[in-house]
Amino acid sequence: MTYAIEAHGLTKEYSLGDQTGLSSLLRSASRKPAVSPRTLVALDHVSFVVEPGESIGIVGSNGAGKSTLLKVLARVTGPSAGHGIVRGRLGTILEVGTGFHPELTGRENVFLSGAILGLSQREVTAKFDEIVDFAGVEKFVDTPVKRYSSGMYVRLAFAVAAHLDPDILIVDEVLAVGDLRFQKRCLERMEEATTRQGRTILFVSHNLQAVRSLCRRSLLLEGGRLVADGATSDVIQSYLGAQRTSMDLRQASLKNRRDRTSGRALFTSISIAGTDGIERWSFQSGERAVLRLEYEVHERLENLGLLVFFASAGDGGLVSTIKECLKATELAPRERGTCILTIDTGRMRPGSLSLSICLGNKDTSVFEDVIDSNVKLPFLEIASDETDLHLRSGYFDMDYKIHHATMQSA
Amino acid sequence: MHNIPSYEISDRAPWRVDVAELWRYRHLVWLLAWRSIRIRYKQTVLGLLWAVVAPLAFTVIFFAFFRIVSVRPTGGLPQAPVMFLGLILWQLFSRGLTEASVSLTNNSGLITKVYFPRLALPLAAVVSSLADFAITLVLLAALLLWYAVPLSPHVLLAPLFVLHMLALTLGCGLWLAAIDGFFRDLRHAIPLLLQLGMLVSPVVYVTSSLVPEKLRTLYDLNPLVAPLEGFRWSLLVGAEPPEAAMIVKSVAITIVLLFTGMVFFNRVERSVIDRV
Repeated sequence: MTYAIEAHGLTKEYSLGDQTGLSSLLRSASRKPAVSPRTLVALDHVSFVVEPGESIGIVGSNGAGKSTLLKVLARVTGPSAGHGIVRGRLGTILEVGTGFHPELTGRENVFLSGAILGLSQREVTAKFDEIVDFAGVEKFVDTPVKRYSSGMYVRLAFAVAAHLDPDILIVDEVLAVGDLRFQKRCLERMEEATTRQGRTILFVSHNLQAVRSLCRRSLLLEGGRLVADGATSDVIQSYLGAQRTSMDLRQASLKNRRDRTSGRALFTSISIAGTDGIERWSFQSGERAVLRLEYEVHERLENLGLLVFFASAGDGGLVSTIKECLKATELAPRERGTCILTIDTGRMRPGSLSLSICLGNKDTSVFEDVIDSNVKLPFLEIASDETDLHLRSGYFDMDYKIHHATMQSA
Repeated sequence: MHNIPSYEISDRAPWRVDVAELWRYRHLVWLLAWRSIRIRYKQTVLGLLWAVVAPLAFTVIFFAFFRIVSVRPTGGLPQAPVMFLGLILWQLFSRGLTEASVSLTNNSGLITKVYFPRLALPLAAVVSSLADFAITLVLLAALLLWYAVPLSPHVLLAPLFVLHMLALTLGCGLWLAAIDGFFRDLRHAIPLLLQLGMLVSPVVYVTSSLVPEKLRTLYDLNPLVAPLEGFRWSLLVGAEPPEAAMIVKSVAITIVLLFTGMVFFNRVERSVIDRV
């Protein structure tokens, strides 16, 4: 059996500290291993093989080494140790709009970006109309892309990448941009590429639902090491299980939080569980999630309010907010409180939600503390067994009635 | 399963330069060069005409300067064509070199996101300076007509001297592009070095009329002398031909610079990518 991708002990170290100077130049020319004791191990002996036609999801928290792995496989950067083989024409989408220049027109950028991503001139010429059509920017092909709306820019950039037609496609978190409708079209295109055309796909995403629907097998990276390799549902389960469900916040990232807020009242702990009392961040659509928030007042406050933002982890679009006045009267220092928030996920469509939990005054014009993904708050994961792509995209289930009648004309 | 493009991932930096692969990416080199020309003159009124402004202005300045100090730096040759000729070939070198030296670091957005042979970047930088050169050639032709300089069959050799200059530019550019990834100081030093370089090369003067005989051995080590003198000789009837020994020396230096530059660039390019 010939594998499409083989990785044997891939390791990538970055040396921290002073990066310039003669010694580092000589070292890289002679390829001696870095002597600096301060190194960051981004990838730690990662080994796996991929068969042709497989689509593999790569999950893990930020900094786990997902992007580094893709870059090493795509030859963007070389490994510090280990080796591997990639068989087949490779297309990489590590970023939307690689090679795009704002001063150039849409047409010029399509050709340039196509060439950079590895398409020949003939291929770009042949696919040009299809690319422009896919992006829906026919009227603006001869306008500099700096005049494009960000949506148009992203669509055109992705359209070029989506038409690479490689044997192996490496995609890094690019679906995080663009509107939902376009994201869905891209997912459909990738699904088509793997199921019908038998392409091999490596797919990094925080959108676990997308990974679930696209990949049967997944890899879980943690601190640069490959900790799980198997069926996607198992891997995602262990990924979510590994995330901290209750956070003791008394010391956590205090500087980061204080820099952004006034810090006169701070959360001391946040935990989340199902109604069964089991702590977790993953819920089936329809379950109730119980958030338990504890805080302590440090300086006198006029009043206290709670604001919770629910945003799509994919594109950051706001899905919903909760705003409550916790106490309308004065709070003294050392006063503590506990707040239990029960959320019905009944109408939520599957996806990852990024939460921002904020303490503030009752108008929330002043923030006292903010806990969000910047201080490692995990995503709230809504899963669903629904297999129809159209019934699990979007943010929520709408209430609707439909009436339909047919008639035979004479 | 045969003929599937495949590649190996290795922790060792290559000694060998994959020329065949670079050839497959020639279209990209062309597009990158075209991009930098487009962007350089975008939203300028004069556009590509700016390429002739600098050599023209320097011709006027040096013409006036040598007139004031009463030195005839060009022997029996007409001064303006001699200076302009030298200046446009010098500009090919200096612009190509400047652009090539920052080609790796200034394209960090590209090289950290997608693979392509990195040699394409300094190569494209040098190619893009050819566009400026082509424009200046038009003005040169006009100048030669104005001074009624007849063409000799030597003109057929002119492209060879331009090619020699391009190879020299690329050779130096490859070294500087690689070093720039480690010492950003370089980009402050390059303009200074180029100004010095222009004075110690026969750009606005003819070697035999200004350079003292006892310094000639040292002077001839400058690999820029041969293509500059050669280009002048091929276009101006009456100019002295560069000595064969000097050409051989210069070509040898160029070849060494080019090959060592390619290998050095290829070896350190990976480390630069981890640094930008």
